[in-house]
Amino acid sequence: MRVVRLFVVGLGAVGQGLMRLLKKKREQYARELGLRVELVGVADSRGVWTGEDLDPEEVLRVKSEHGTVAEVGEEVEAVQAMEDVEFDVLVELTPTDIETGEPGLSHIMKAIELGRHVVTANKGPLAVAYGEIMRAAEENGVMIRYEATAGGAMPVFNLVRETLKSVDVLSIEGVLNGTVNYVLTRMESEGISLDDAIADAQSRGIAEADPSMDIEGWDTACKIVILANSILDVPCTIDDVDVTGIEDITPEAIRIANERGYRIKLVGRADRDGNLVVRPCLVPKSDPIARVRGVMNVVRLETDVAGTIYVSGRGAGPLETASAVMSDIISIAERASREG
Amino acid sequence: MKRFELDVVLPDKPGQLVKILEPLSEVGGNVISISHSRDGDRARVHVVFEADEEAAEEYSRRISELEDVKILRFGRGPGHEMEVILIGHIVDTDIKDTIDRVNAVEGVQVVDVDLEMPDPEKRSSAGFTVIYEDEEALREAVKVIEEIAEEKDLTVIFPMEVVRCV
Repeated sequence: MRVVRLFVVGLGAVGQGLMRLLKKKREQYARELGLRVELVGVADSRGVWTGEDLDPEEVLRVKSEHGTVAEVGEEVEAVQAMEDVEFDVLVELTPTDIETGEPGLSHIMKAIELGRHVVTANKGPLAVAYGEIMRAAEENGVMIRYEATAGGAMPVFNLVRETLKSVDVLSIEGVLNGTVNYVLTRMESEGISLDDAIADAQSRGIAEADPSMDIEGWDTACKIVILANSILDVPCTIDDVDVTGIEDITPEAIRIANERGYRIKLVGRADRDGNLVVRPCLVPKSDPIARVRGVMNVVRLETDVAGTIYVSGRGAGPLETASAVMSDIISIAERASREG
Repeated sequence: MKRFELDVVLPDKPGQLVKILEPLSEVGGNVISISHSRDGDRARVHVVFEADEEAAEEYSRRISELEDVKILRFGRGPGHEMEVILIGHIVDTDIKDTIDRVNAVEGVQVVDVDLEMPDPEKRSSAGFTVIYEDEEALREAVKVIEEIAEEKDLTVIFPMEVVRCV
């Protein structure tokens, strides 16, 4: 039986989602894939808990009872603890910081330096330092996977990497933020103001207490940067994106657009010429991009020889995002064992 | 089929619009869009249609014979139409100036405006239909609209296909 040992940093919604997923499906992975997933370290902002094979259910219990795993582990920094633990894959799930990429960036660079593979759902490090991370990974012979960074459970990177090997993608555009799309959908269907729609999204746990990253378009911009670097080979960072959010959109504008046959969507777009833009657009109602409702995301890939390809799926949610993280872990484990 | 446009002024009373549209269907023309705006006791009508060159000539001859119909322009029409939405203090920042500046771009014309003002204190929203002859005219129109938006602190929303090509 192959074994993959995980060091998970970040126990917020996605980290806890991953614990729930492991609890639910770990046996199945062992049985069906011949892969034993072991948890050898977990960390949150206050400390680290390490052990030979931690029980994800126990991690969830400690986290909910004490608020931190430092209670049963140690109050040390994750970068420090990583040096003393034998693990195969760093799972980086700390909160996104789009200015510095920290603390995720340091965690990722440390793992690479130690020769460990990395799976992340954190957009910050890739949005500010994609090139740097990939160069370091190549020099150290490790794999970096980040499917969960764009569109949660919606498979984009792996689709292109694994399934579209014979084609060049020319441009990428779509709806990449479930919160924003939910807010615009509510404004359209209920005729309510932006503030009311945000409050509604917050009451349902869709929008965060401070939704500005989503509403102002920065979250979408991060995803565009990662997609452009990864799929279009356009070296760029968050500073290269022309970003306009939905903060000025009125219900009247949505109604006027509707009467003229359009929906207003926050569209992110990148092409091979390096044009990177996030802005609200009028999208014809017949366009598949206009048809995604609520928290759904959609991406349209224009390719050179395979025409147009659409991918759509739930863009957010702890379990959905954790599923994308888990798929990356499995793919790394399988590839590592193939390569011996 | 080619595209043509017609700008006419008619008396604002029942039956006038039919008077200019009937001959168009008789010659086999195909209406793309009509905009109709009242100005006192007259109405200004802008028609974009597709027709063969010969049919268009015949149509031009027929409407020029109509009484009370003043033709302002008849010619090869705009290639395309674009919808644009502006949000902000559209009226206070002189909506006429906004329209005039877009119209000043060669090959570009604002043919329809919908304005919604929920409250004089609040931001209003407006939809504009802009027709343009070719891609160069479109690029220039987009540039001018973005300049106006910047200057008057308006938010502008373009169609996705426009964002894609400019």
